[in-house]
Amino acid sequence: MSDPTRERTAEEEALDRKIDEAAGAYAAHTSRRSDRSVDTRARVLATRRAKRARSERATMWLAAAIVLVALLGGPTVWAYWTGRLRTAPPPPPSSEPAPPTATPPAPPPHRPHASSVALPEVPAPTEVAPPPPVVPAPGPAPSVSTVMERASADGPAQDTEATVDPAERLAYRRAHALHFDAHDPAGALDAWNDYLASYPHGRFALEARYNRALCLVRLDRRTEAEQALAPFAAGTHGNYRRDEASALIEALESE
Amino acid sequence: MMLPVLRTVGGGYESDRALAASIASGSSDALAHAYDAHHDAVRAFSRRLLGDEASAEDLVHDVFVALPDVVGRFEGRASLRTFILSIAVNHARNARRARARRLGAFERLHVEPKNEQESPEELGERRELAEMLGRMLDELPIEQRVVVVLCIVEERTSTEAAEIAGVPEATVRTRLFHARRKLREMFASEARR
Repeated sequence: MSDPTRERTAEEEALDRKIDEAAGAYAAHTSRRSDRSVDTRARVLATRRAKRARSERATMWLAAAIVLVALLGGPTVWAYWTGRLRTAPPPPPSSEPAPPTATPPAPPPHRPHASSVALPEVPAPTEVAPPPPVVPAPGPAPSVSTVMERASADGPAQDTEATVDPAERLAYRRAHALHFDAHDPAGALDAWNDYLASYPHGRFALEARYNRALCLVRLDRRTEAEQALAPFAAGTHGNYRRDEASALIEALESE
Repeated sequence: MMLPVLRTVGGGYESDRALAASIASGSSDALAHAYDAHHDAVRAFSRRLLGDEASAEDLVHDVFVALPDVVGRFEGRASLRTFILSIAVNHARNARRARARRLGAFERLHVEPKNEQESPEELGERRELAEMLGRMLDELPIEQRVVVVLCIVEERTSTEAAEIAGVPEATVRTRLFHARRKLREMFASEARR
Protein backbone atom coordinates (compact mmCIF):
# COMPACT_ATOMS: atom_id res chain seq x y z
CA MET A 1 0.00 0.00 0.00
CA SER A 2 1.34 3.42 -0.93
CA ASP A 3 1.90 6.02 1.73
CA PRO A 4 0.25 9.33 0.79
CA THR A 5 2.69 11.25 2.97
CA ARG A 6 5.90 9.94 1.41
CA GLU A 7 8.00 12.12 -0.88
CA ARG A 8 7.32 11.86 -4.58
CA THR A 9 9.99 10.38 -6.74
CA ALA A 10 11.44 12.29 -9.65
CA GLU A 11 9.53 10.10 -12.05
CA GLU A 12 6.28 10.80 -10.23
CA GLU A 13 6.97 14.50 -10.29
CA ALA A 14 7.54 14.35 -14.03
CA LEU A 15 4.31 12.44 -14.52
CA ASP A 16 2.43 14.94 -12.33
CA ARG A 17 3.73 17.76 -14.48
CA LYS A 18 2.43 15.91 -17.51
CA ILE A 19 -0.93 15.42 -15.82
CA ASP A 20 -1.13 19.12 -14.95
CA GLU A 21 -0.24 20.04 -18.49
CA ALA A 22 -2.94 17.72 -19.84
CA ALA A 23 -5.41 19.16 -17.33
CA GLY A 24 -4.64 22.66 -18.57
CA ALA A 25 -5.22 21.61 -22.16
CA TYR A 26 -8.40 19.82 -21.16
CA ALA A 27 -9.67 22.87 -19.26
CA ALA A 28 -8.96 25.13 -22.21
CA HIS A 29 -10.80 22.85 -24.59
CA THR A 30 -13.84 22.62 -22.37
CA SER A 31 -14.25 26.22 -21.29
CA ARG A 32 -15.55 27.86 -24.41
CA ARG A 33 -18.94 29.49 -24.30
CA SER A 34 -21.93 27.56 -25.52
CA ASP A 35 -24.08 28.83 -28.35
CA ARG A 36 -26.96 26.94 -26.72
CA SER A 37 -26.84 28.73 -23.39
CA VAL A 38 -29.64 31.12 -24.35
CA ASP A 39 -31.81 28.22 -25.49
CA THR A 40 -31.09 26.30 -22.31
CA ARG A 41 -31.98 29.36 -20.23
CA ALA A 42 -35.34 29.62 -21.96
CA ARG A 43 -35.85 25.89 -21.57
CA VAL A 44 -35.13 26.06 -17.84
CA LEU A 45 -37.62 28.85 -17.28
CA ALA A 46 -40.27 27.15 -19.43
CA THR A 47 -39.84 23.89 -17.57
CA ARG A 48 -40.22 25.64 -14.24
CA ARG A 49 -43.32 27.47 -15.44
CA ALA A 50 -44.88 24.22 -16.60
CA LYS A 51 -43.97 22.55 -13.32
CA ARG A 52 -45.50 25.37 -11.32
CA ALA A 53 -48.63 25.30 -13.45
CA ARG A 54 -48.99 21.57 -12.84
CA SER A 55 -48.57 22.12 -9.14
CA GLU A 56 -51.14 24.92 -9.12
CA ARG A 57 -53.62 22.80 -11.04
CA ALA A 58 -53.17 19.97 -8.56
CA THR A 59 -53.69 22.38 -5.66
CA MET A 60 -56.79 23.81 -7.32
CA TRP A 61 -58.29 20.36 -7.84
CA LEU A 62 -57.55 19.45 -4.26
CA ALA A 63 -59.18 22.62 -2.99
CA ALA A 64 -62.19 22.01 -5.21
CA ALA A 65 -62.47 18.46 -3.91
CA ILE A 66 -62.31 19.68 -0.31
CA VAL A 67 -65.00 22.30 -0.96
CA LEU A 68 -67.18 19.72 -2.68
CA VAL A 69 -66.81 17.28 0.18
CA ALA A 70 -67.60 20.04 2.66
CA LEU A 71 -70.67 21.10 0.71
CA LEU A 72 -72.02 17.62 0.24
CA GLY A 73 -70.78 15.97 3.37
CA GLY A 74 -71.57 18.74 5.84
CA PRO A 75 -75.34 18.67 5.47
CA THR A 76 -75.29 14.88 5.42
CA VAL A 77 -73.38 14.73 8.66
CA TRP A 78 -75.65 17.36 10.18
CA ALA A 79 -78.74 15.46 9.07
CA TYR A 80 -77.31 12.25 10.44
CA TRP A 81 -76.59 13.72 13.85
CA THR A 82 -79.88 15.51 14.07
CA GLY A 83 -81.79 12.42 13.02
CA ARG A 84 -83.10 14.05 9.87
CA LEU A 85 -81.29 11.64 7.63
CA ARG A 86 -83.89 9.22 6.26
CA THR A 87 -82.93 5.64 6.36
CA ALA A 88 -82.59 4.32 2.87
CA PRO A 89 -85.59 2.26 1.83
CA PRO A 90 -85.03 -1.47 1.94
CA PRO A 91 -83.79 -2.94 -1.27
CA PRO A 92 -86.40 -4.25 -3.62
CA PRO A 93 -87.20 -7.89 -3.17
CA SER A 94 -85.25 -8.83 -6.25
CA SER A 95 -82.18 -7.83 -4.33
CA GLU A 96 -83.19 -9.29 -1.01
CA PRO A 97 -80.33 -11.13 0.57
CA ALA A 98 -79.96 -14.72 -0.32
CA PRO A 99 -79.92 -17.31 2.39
CA PRO A 100 -76.59 -17.53 4.13
CA THR A 101 -75.69 -20.92 2.71
CA ALA A 102 -76.51 -22.89 -0.36
CA THR A 103 -75.81 -26.22 1.20
CA PRO A 104 -78.60 -28.00 2.97
CA PRO A 105 -78.55 -27.37 6.68
CA ALA A 106 -78.24 -30.18 9.13
CA PRO A 107 -81.62 -31.61 9.99
CA PRO A 108 -82.98 -30.60 13.35
CA PRO A 109 -82.79 -33.12 16.17
CA HIS A 110 -86.54 -33.37 16.36
CA ARG A 111 -88.54 -33.24 13.24
CA PRO A 112 -91.43 -30.88 13.61
CA HIS A 113 -94.82 -32.00 12.53
CA ALA A 114 -95.54 -31.32 8.96
CA SER A 115 -97.35 -28.12 8.50
CA SER A 116 -100.84 -28.52 7.29
CA VAL A 117 -100.92 -25.10 5.69
CA ALA A 118 -102.50 -25.23 2.32
CA LEU A 119 -99.97 -24.04 -0.19
CA PRO A 120 -101.06 -21.66 -2.84
CA GLU A 121 -101.06 -22.93 -6.30
CA VAL A 122 -97.76 -22.34 -7.97
CA PRO A 123 -98.34 -20.34 -11.10
CA ALA A 124 -97.14 -21.54 -14.40
CA PRO A 125 -93.62 -20.49 -15.28
CA THR A 126 -94.81 -18.23 -18.00
CA GLU A 127 -96.81 -16.27 -15.49
CA VAL A 128 -93.78 -15.41 -13.46
CA ALA A 129 -91.94 -12.28 -14.26
CA PRO A 130 -88.42 -13.01 -15.41
CA PRO A 131 -86.05 -12.77 -12.52
CA PRO A 132 -83.25 -10.28 -12.47
CA PRO A 133 -80.13 -11.63 -14.11
CA VAL A 134 -77.90 -10.97 -11.16
CA VAL A 135 -78.78 -11.39 -7.55
CA PRO A 136 -76.52 -9.46 -5.22
CA ALA A 137 -74.70 -11.15 -2.44
CA PRO A 138 -76.41 -11.19 0.91
CA GLY A 139 -76.05 -8.10 3.00
CA PRO A 140 -76.77 -7.49 6.62
CA ALA A 141 -80.42 -8.09 7.18
CA PRO A 142 -82.41 -5.75 9.39
CA SER A 143 -83.87 -7.01 12.62
CA VAL A 144 -87.50 -8.01 12.79
CA SER A 145 -88.42 -4.99 14.83
CA THR A 146 -86.55 -2.68 12.53
CA VAL A 147 -88.25 -4.11 9.53
CA MET A 148 -91.60 -3.90 11.10
CA GLU A 149 -91.04 -0.34 12.28
CA ARG A 150 -89.76 0.64 8.90
CA ALA A 151 -92.66 -1.06 7.21
CA SER A 152 -95.14 0.74 9.39
CA ALA A 153 -93.38 4.06 9.01
CA ASP A 154 -93.13 3.87 5.26
CA GLY A 155 -96.27 5.13 3.70
CA PRO A 156 -97.29 4.31 0.17
CA ALA A 157 -95.85 7.58 -1.03
CA GLN A 158 -92.45 6.59 0.34
CA ASP A 159 -92.29 3.31 -1.53
CA THR A 160 -89.58 3.18 -4.06
CA GLU A 161 -91.82 1.14 -6.27
CA ALA A 162 -95.21 2.69 -6.32
CA THR A 163 -96.67 -0.30 -8.08
CA VAL A 164 -96.15 -2.56 -5.07
CA ASP A 165 -99.07 -2.82 -2.70
CA PRO A 166 -97.89 -1.78 0.79
CA ALA A 167 -99.74 -4.71 2.29
CA GLU A 168 -97.90 -7.06 -0.05
CA ARG A 169 -94.60 -5.47 0.87
CA LEU A 170 -95.42 -5.77 4.54
CA ALA A 171 -96.27 -9.45 4.17
CA TYR A 172 -93.02 -10.06 2.33
CA ARG A 173 -90.98 -8.20 4.94
CA ARG A 174 -92.56 -10.10 7.73
CA ALA A 175 -91.67 -13.43 6.16
CA HIS A 176 -88.22 -12.20 5.30
CA ALA A 177 -87.59 -11.08 8.86
CA LEU A 178 -88.73 -14.40 10.29
CA HIS A 179 -86.56 -16.26 7.83
CA PHE A 180 -83.29 -14.33 7.82
CA ASP A 181 -83.34 -12.40 11.09
CA ALA A 182 -85.27 -14.55 13.52
CA HIS A 183 -84.00 -17.78 11.90
CA ASP A 184 -87.39 -19.34 12.51
CA PRO A 185 -87.90 -21.69 9.57
CA ALA A 186 -91.28 -22.90 10.73
CA GLY A 187 -92.61 -19.41 11.30
CA ALA A 188 -91.04 -18.22 8.08
CA LEU A 189 -92.60 -21.11 6.15
CA ASP A 190 -96.01 -20.09 7.42
CA ALA A 191 -95.31 -16.50 6.54
CA TRP A 192 -94.12 -17.37 3.04
CA ASN A 193 -97.21 -19.50 2.59
CA ASP A 194 -99.37 -16.62 3.76
CA TYR A 195 -97.68 -14.29 1.33
CA LEU A 196 -98.05 -16.70 -1.59
CA ALA A 197 -101.65 -17.38 -0.68
CA SER A 198 -102.41 -13.69 -0.76
CA TYR A 199 -100.20 -12.73 -3.66
CA PRO A 200 -99.58 -15.77 -5.85
CA HIS A 201 -98.59 -13.50 -8.70
CA GLY A 202 -97.13 -10.80 -6.52
CA ARG A 203 -94.09 -8.81 -7.17
CA PHE A 204 -92.06 -10.99 -4.80
CA ALA A 205 -93.66 -14.33 -5.56
CA LEU A 206 -90.60 -15.84 -7.16
CA GLU A 207 -88.32 -15.07 -4.23
CA ALA A 208 -91.00 -16.16 -1.83
CA ARG A 209 -91.19 -19.58 -3.49
CA TYR A 210 -87.48 -20.07 -3.34
CA ASN A 211 -87.30 -18.95 0.28
CA ARG A 212 -90.20 -21.25 1.11
CA ALA A 213 -88.23 -24.13 -0.42
CA LEU A 214 -85.30 -23.22 1.81
CA CYS A 215 -87.52 -23.36 4.85
CA LEU A 216 -88.63 -26.83 3.81
CA VAL A 217 -84.98 -27.84 3.57
CA ARG A 218 -84.28 -26.52 7.01
CA LEU A 219 -87.27 -28.33 8.37
CA ASP A 220 -85.98 -31.48 6.68
CA ARG A 221 -89.14 -31.92 4.67
CA ARG A 222 -87.12 -33.32 1.84
CA THR A 223 -89.76 -34.43 -0.58
CA GLU A 224 -91.58 -31.14 -0.42
CA ALA A 225 -88.29 -29.30 -0.56
CA GLU A 226 -87.20 -31.15 -3.68
CA GLN A 227 -90.55 -30.51 -5.31
CA ALA A 228 -90.28 -26.82 -4.49
CA LEU A 229 -86.72 -26.59 -5.73
CA ALA A 230 -87.25 -28.60 -8.91
CA PRO A 231 -88.61 -25.75 -11.06
CA PHE A 232 -85.63 -23.58 -10.14
CA ALA A 233 -83.13 -26.36 -10.84
CA ALA A 234 -84.81 -27.09 -14.16
CA GLY A 235 -84.34 -23.53 -15.26
CA THR A 236 -88.02 -22.80 -15.38
CA HIS A 237 -87.23 -19.39 -14.01
CA GLY A 238 -84.17 -18.86 -16.12
CA ASN A 239 -80.89 -18.71 -14.33
CA TYR A 240 -82.49 -17.48 -11.15
CA ARG A 241 -81.26 -19.71 -8.29
CA ARG A 242 -80.78 -22.54 -10.77
CA ASP A 243 -77.32 -23.52 -9.60
CA GLU A 244 -78.18 -23.20 -5.92
CA ALA A 245 -81.35 -25.24 -6.35
CA SER A 246 -79.49 -27.96 -8.23
CA ALA A 247 -76.86 -28.13 -5.52
CA LEU A 248 -79.50 -28.36 -2.82
CA ILE A 249 -81.39 -31.15 -4.58
CA GLU A 250 -78.16 -33.04 -5.14
CA ALA A 251 -77.27 -32.68 -1.48
CA LEU A 252 -80.72 -33.80 -0.37
CA GLU A 253 -80.57 -36.85 -2.61
CA SER A 254 -77.12 -37.82 -1.48
CA GLU A 255 -78.09 -37.99 2.17
CA MET B 1 -15.99 27.03 10.62
CA MET B 2 -16.52 28.58 7.24
CA LEU B 3 -17.77 32.12 6.99
CA PRO B 4 -20.81 32.88 4.86
CA VAL B 5 -19.84 33.93 1.38
CA LEU B 6 -21.81 37.01 0.52
CA ARG B 7 -21.65 38.78 -2.75
CA THR B 8 -23.60 41.20 -4.79
CA VAL B 9 -25.12 39.20 -7.54
CA GLY B 10 -26.94 42.01 -9.28
CA GLY B 11 -30.59 42.44 -10.05
CA GLY B 12 -31.33 43.71 -6.56
CA TYR B 13 -30.07 40.62 -4.76
CA GLU B 14 -27.64 41.67 -2.07
CA SER B 15 -26.35 38.25 -1.27
CA ASP B 16 -26.46 34.65 -2.33
CA ARG B 17 -28.86 33.99 0.51
CA ALA B 18 -31.24 36.69 -0.68
CA LEU B 19 -31.09 35.28 -4.17
CA ALA B 20 -31.61 31.76 -2.85
CA ALA B 21 -34.62 32.90 -0.85
CA SER B 22 -36.17 34.48 -3.92
CA ILE B 23 -35.55 31.34 -5.95
CA ALA B 24 -37.12 29.25 -3.23
CA SER B 25 -40.19 31.46 -3.26
CA GLY B 26 -40.69 30.66 -6.93
CA SER B 27 -39.41 33.83 -8.53
CA SER B 28 -38.59 33.28 -12.20
CA ASP B 29 -36.51 36.46 -12.23
CA ALA B 30 -34.36 35.13 -9.43
CA LEU B 31 -33.87 31.83 -11.21
CA ALA B 32 -32.92 33.68 -14.38
CA HIS B 33 -30.38 35.73 -12.42
CA ALA B 34 -28.88 32.60 -10.96
CA TYR B 35 -28.64 31.07 -14.41
CA ASP B 36 -26.95 34.14 -15.86
CA ALA B 37 -24.47 34.25 -13.01
CA HIS B 38 -23.52 30.60 -12.86
CA HIS B 39 -24.40 28.72 -16.02
CA ASP B 40 -20.89 29.06 -17.50
CA ALA B 41 -19.29 27.43 -14.48
CA VAL B 42 -21.88 24.68 -14.37
CA ARG B 43 -21.55 24.03 -18.10
CA ALA B 44 -17.74 23.89 -18.00
CA PHE B 45 -17.79 21.53 -15.06
CA SER B 46 -20.41 19.37 -16.75
CA ARG B 47 -18.42 19.18 -19.97
CA ARG B 48 -15.31 18.16 -18.10
CA LEU B 49 -17.14 15.58 -16.10
CA LEU B 50 -19.30 14.14 -18.87
CA GLY B 51 -17.16 14.86 -21.92
CA ASP B 52 -20.27 15.16 -24.04
CA GLU B 53 -21.52 18.58 -24.95
CA ALA B 54 -25.13 17.55 -25.43
CA SER B 55 -25.21 15.70 -22.13
CA ALA B 56 -23.56 18.67 -20.44
CA GLU B 57 -26.22 21.00 -21.80
CA ASP B 58 -28.92 18.68 -20.50
CA LEU B 59 -27.21 18.59 -17.15
CA VAL B 60 -27.16 22.39 -16.99
CA HIS B 61 -30.87 22.36 -17.70
CA ASP B 62 -31.58 19.75 -15.06
CA VAL B 63 -29.52 21.53 -12.44
CA PHE B 64 -31.30 24.86 -12.82
CA VAL B 65 -34.72 23.21 -13.05
CA ALA B 66 -34.02 21.39 -9.80
CA LEU B 67 -32.56 24.44 -8.10
CA PRO B 68 -35.84 25.96 -6.78
CA ASP B 69 -36.77 22.63 -5.21
CA VAL B 70 -33.51 22.17 -3.33
CA VAL B 71 -32.28 25.70 -2.73
CA GLY B 72 -34.05 25.68 0.62
CA ARG B 73 -31.15 23.57 1.86
CA PHE B 74 -28.69 26.33 0.99
CA GLU B 75 -27.31 27.60 4.29
CA GLY B 76 -24.93 30.25 2.99
CA ARG B 77 -21.85 28.56 4.43
CA ALA B 78 -20.37 28.36 0.94
CA SER B 79 -21.20 30.27 -2.20
CA LEU B 80 -24.36 29.65 -4.18
CA ARG B 81 -22.15 28.61 -7.11
CA THR B 82 -20.63 25.88 -4.98
CA PHE B 83 -24.10 24.78 -3.98
CA ILE B 84 -25.23 24.69 -7.61
CA LEU B 85 -22.17 22.71 -8.63
CA SER B 86 -22.96 20.21 -5.91
CA ILE B 87 -26.35 19.72 -7.54
CA ALA B 88 -24.53 19.08 -10.79
CA VAL B 89 -22.36 16.44 -9.13
CA ASN B 90 -25.41 14.64 -7.82
CA HIS B 91 -27.18 14.74 -11.17
CA ALA B 92 -24.06 13.75 -13.10
CA ARG B 93 -23.84 10.45 -11.24
CA ASN B 94 -26.85 9.33 -13.20
CA ALA B 95 -26.19 11.20 -16.40
CA ARG B 96 -22.77 10.08 -17.33
CA ARG B 97 -21.93 7.27 -19.69
CA ALA B 98 -18.34 6.56 -20.56
CA ARG B 99 -18.81 5.81 -24.21
CA ALA B 100 -21.00 8.83 -24.82
CA ARG B 101 -18.44 10.86 -22.99
CA ARG B 102 -15.56 9.56 -25.11
CA LEU B 103 -17.40 10.07 -28.36
CA GLY B 104 -18.50 13.50 -27.24
CA ALA B 105 -14.98 14.43 -26.32
CA PHE B 106 -13.66 13.45 -29.71
CA GLU B 107 -16.42 15.35 -31.40
CA ARG B 108 -15.81 18.41 -29.29
CA LEU B 109 -12.06 18.43 -29.57
CA HIS B 110 -12.12 18.13 -33.33
CA VAL B 111 -14.34 21.16 -33.74
CA GLU B 112 -12.44 23.40 -31.35
CA PRO B 113 -11.50 26.71 -32.93
CA LYS B 114 -7.78 27.05 -33.37
CA ASN B 115 -5.78 29.39 -31.24
CA GLU B 116 -3.96 31.55 -33.74
CA GLN B 117 -1.14 32.25 -31.30
CA GLU B 118 -0.13 28.62 -31.13
CA SER B 119 1.73 26.76 -33.82
CA PRO B 120 0.04 23.82 -35.47
CA GLU B 121 2.48 21.51 -33.68
CA GLU B 122 1.66 23.02 -30.28
CA LEU B 123 -2.04 22.85 -30.99
CA GLY B 124 -1.78 19.24 -32.03
CA GLU B 125 0.18 18.35 -28.94
CA ARG B 126 -2.28 20.07 -26.61
CA ARG B 127 -5.22 18.47 -28.33
CA GLU B 128 -3.55 15.11 -28.04
CA LEU B 129 -2.96 15.69 -24.33
CA ALA B 130 -6.55 16.76 -23.78
CA GLU B 131 -7.86 13.73 -25.63
CA MET B 132 -5.58 11.50 -23.63
CA LEU B 133 -6.79 12.92 -20.31
CA GLY B 134 -10.36 12.60 -21.49
CA ARG B 135 -9.85 8.91 -22.19
CA MET B 136 -8.15 8.41 -18.83
CA LEU B 137 -10.98 10.13 -16.99
CA ASP B 138 -13.28 7.56 -18.52
CA GLU B 139 -11.36 4.89 -16.71
CA LEU B 140 -11.79 6.45 -13.28
CA PRO B 141 -14.73 5.86 -10.97
CA ILE B 142 -17.15 8.77 -10.88
CA GLU B 143 -16.12 9.83 -7.37
CA GLN B 144 -12.46 10.07 -8.34
CA ARG B 145 -13.33 11.75 -11.61
CA VAL B 146 -15.23 14.45 -9.75
CA VAL B 147 -12.24 15.34 -7.58
CA VAL B 148 -9.84 15.26 -10.54
CA VAL B 149 -12.04 17.70 -12.44
CA LEU B 150 -12.53 19.90 -9.40
CA CYS B 151 -8.97 19.89 -8.02
CA ILE B 152 -6.72 19.29 -11.00
CA VAL B 153 -8.62 20.58 -14.02
CA GLU B 154 -10.45 23.45 -12.33
CA GLU B 155 -7.76 23.95 -9.66
CA ARG B 156 -10.19 24.32 -6.77
CA THR B 157 -9.09 23.93 -3.19
CA SER B 158 -9.87 20.72 -1.39
CA THR B 159 -12.18 22.70 0.88
CA GLU B 160 -14.28 23.90 -2.03
CA ALA B 161 -14.15 20.49 -3.70
CA ALA B 162 -15.37 18.95 -0.47
CA GLU B 163 -18.32 21.35 -0.40
CA ILE B 164 -19.21 20.61 -4.00
CA ALA B 165 -18.79 16.86 -3.72
CA GLY B 166 -20.55 16.78 -0.38
CA VAL B 167 -17.79 14.82 1.36
CA PRO B 168 -15.17 15.66 4.00
CA GLU B 169 -11.92 17.23 2.88
CA ALA B 170 -9.98 14.17 3.95
CA THR B 171 -12.08 12.09 1.60
CA VAL B 172 -11.32 14.49 -1.23
CA ARG B 173 -7.61 14.20 -0.58
CA THR B 174 -7.75 10.43 -0.41
CA ARG B 175 -9.70 10.17 -3.64
CA LEU B 176 -7.34 12.60 -5.27
CA PHE B 177 -4.33 10.61 -4.15
CA HIS B 178 -5.68 7.39 -5.62
CA ALA B 179 -6.87 9.09 -8.77
CA ARG B 180 -3.52 10.74 -9.34
CA ARG B 181 -1.71 7.45 -8.85
CA LYS B 182 -3.90 5.83 -11.50
CA LEU B 183 -3.34 8.74 -13.85
CA ARG B 184 0.42 8.45 -13.38
CA GLU B 185 0.25 4.76 -14.25
CA MET B 186 -1.77 5.53 -17.34
CA PHE B 187 0.53 8.32 -18.47
CA ALA B 188 3.56 6.11 -17.84
CA SER B 189 1.95 3.37 -19.86
CA GLU B 190 1.29 5.81 -22.69
CA ALA B 191 4.90 7.00 -22.57
CA ARG B 192 6.22 3.44 -22.93
CA ARG B 193 4.31 2.88 -26.16
